[in-house]
Amino acid sequence: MTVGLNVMNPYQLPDWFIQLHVWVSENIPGLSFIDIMDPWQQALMLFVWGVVLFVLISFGVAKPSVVFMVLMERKVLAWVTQRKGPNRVGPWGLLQTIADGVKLLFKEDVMTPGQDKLLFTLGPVIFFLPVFVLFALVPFTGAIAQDGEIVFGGLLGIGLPVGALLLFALSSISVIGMVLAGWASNNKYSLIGGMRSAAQAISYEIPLVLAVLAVVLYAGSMNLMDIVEAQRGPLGMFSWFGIFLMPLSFLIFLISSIAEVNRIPFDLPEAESELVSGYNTEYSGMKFAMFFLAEYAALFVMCALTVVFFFGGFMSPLAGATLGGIHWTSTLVGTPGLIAGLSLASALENMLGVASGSVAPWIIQLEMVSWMVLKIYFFIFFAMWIRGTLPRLKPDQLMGFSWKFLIPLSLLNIFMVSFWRMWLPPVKDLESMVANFTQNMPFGIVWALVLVVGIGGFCWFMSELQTRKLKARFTQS
Amino acid sequence: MIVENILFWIFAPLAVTAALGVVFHRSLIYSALFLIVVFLSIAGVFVLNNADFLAVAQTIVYGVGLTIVILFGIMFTGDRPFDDRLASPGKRLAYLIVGAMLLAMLIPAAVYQYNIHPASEALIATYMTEGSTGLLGLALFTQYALPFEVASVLLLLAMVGAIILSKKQMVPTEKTSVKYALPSTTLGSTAEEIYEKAPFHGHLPKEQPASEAETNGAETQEMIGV
Repeated sequence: MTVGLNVMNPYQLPDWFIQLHVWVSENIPGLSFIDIMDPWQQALMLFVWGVVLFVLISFGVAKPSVVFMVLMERKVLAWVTQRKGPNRVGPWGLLQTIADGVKLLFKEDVMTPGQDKLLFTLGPVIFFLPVFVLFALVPFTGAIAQDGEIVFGGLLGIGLPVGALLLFALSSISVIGMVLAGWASNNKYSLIGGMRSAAQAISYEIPLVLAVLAVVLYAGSMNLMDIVEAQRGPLGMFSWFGIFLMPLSFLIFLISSIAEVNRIPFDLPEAESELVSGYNTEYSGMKFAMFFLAEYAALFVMCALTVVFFFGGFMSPLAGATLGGIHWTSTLVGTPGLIAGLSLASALENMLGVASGSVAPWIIQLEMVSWMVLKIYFFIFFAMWIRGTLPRLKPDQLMGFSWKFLIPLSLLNIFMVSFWRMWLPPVKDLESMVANFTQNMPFGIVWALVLVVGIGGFCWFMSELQTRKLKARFTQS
Repeated sequence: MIVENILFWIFAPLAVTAALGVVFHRSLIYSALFLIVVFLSIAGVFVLNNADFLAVAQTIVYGVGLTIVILFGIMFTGDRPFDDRLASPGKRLAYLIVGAMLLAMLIPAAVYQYNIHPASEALIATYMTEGSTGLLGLALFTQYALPFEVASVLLLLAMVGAIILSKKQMVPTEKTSVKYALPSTTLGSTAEEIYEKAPFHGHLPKEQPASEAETNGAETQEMIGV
């Protein structure tokens, strides 16, 4: 390391970035107060770097992907219902969303006299803003390090030790926007939509966070980068408990995340058969477009989080595995000690017959982004598929499902995952994994029985409760 | 340190101004919004003090969870302008005294705590790289386990109390005991029988009486106009 890098560098800032700052502080008089030695200044630099990346991600990833997702949704729904979908504007209807956007931009911004002007404008903004900040927290790629030095920064706006928690803090802020929009519209349908959204967001936030709590418990960190790193194991992506050991967290997370982004079957806040269009009934023009954009952006972020928490994030499915005599891991990545298994880069190295770690960093970055985007769009497609398949729930069913089924189930899940953590801690090589298995086999068998009986009994109990409730209702009438 | 100071002088006056807004704004819904601003700017001050977990928890629990419930209440009851008669001069004085006493308790406590436990450089470095979550968890489950449990019991009590107050049926009265008994109705006497014969069972009766089917057909023909 070169300029002034023997100083404390707690944030692992990239070399070129610190050099740039040293240059700025030496050559630009107004900024000479920047002190490279001070951890606070480094934090600020990290923040500035984060903001730059955030703008890059937000405008380079989020907005084009949202525009694409709107079209994708219409095409997927058309496929599900055996129609052709938009096919007039541009080849295969590719420019349809842009045409829609232009239309919304030129629409009149209607406001009726009974509306609270300030809150009516503030609603979409509060709804929109946190969702786009969320993009900065999602690790799209990891940084690449060689010989312990970071040579290529990852596509991660802000990496925080409390990243996983901050995600939910921010996504819950956007609920306030929905409630305000419903209130300020001065329309009873909007108000009911806003209230429903508040009730739903509060109810489904709990199983969502509890499911992630199990992940955090197993990974031992709330830093999203560490959570991704923890998923690298001897069986590749499949060694993570998300697939074999602990599918329950994933299911709870999937259901609650669809409820959090207000999509069918949980789209009660905007149920068009009863509430016209819910909280955004009175909105038109660009304000409506903001709601629309933010909803799709929230769907994108939720799918990205599903990938980050359960499906190995930007790593390849073979991350960390040894297959066919090749260890599918090539380069030091990200936070110190993080190694991502990048199968394509490894394969390239093997093909070319060069030493491990000699593939150019930008190729590895490209591979990481590709895995991430591929996985995210799989889950987006899944959400659209669900939208084309399932009917909407009733409000009381919605609340009951969260409070009486998902929350007890996720508490059970945390209980189970803490035992898994004890019995089968995350290990990086196959030998110790097998050793763990064989050593703890009797305990494991007993525990598996307890699991089956526990989950089965719980589900039976809940269904029995429901049946009795129905019987009681018929008795009354 | 300059940046820290600049940010502090953004967040702190914002918190105080918004707090004044909570008290003095005449619309309840704006008061609730000012409350959100207060909580979020206090979260900002927490971040400046390296308490990242606390800041995020503040945002989730107070910034959103609590104020959403307040907004919920306001929307159910309507945003009525504040009635001056609710706060007589005597009451205002009482509130002022309580507030001043609370402040007089908090400030010395904070200063005392700061003086006896000044954070070391190593601790600050840990906070800045690993965050405060781990240390906070250790403190809560070792040194402060008892206060933590007492606080959780207090919250549980409040929750149980709220449920009891809001659900009047849970108090055993004659009405509820009748409600869940099985009266002999036209449908049947046992629960199974009633359940089988209930009109809304989810599937149609197996066979329709012939006469009924005929009349239905006739009606339909009439409606069509055959």
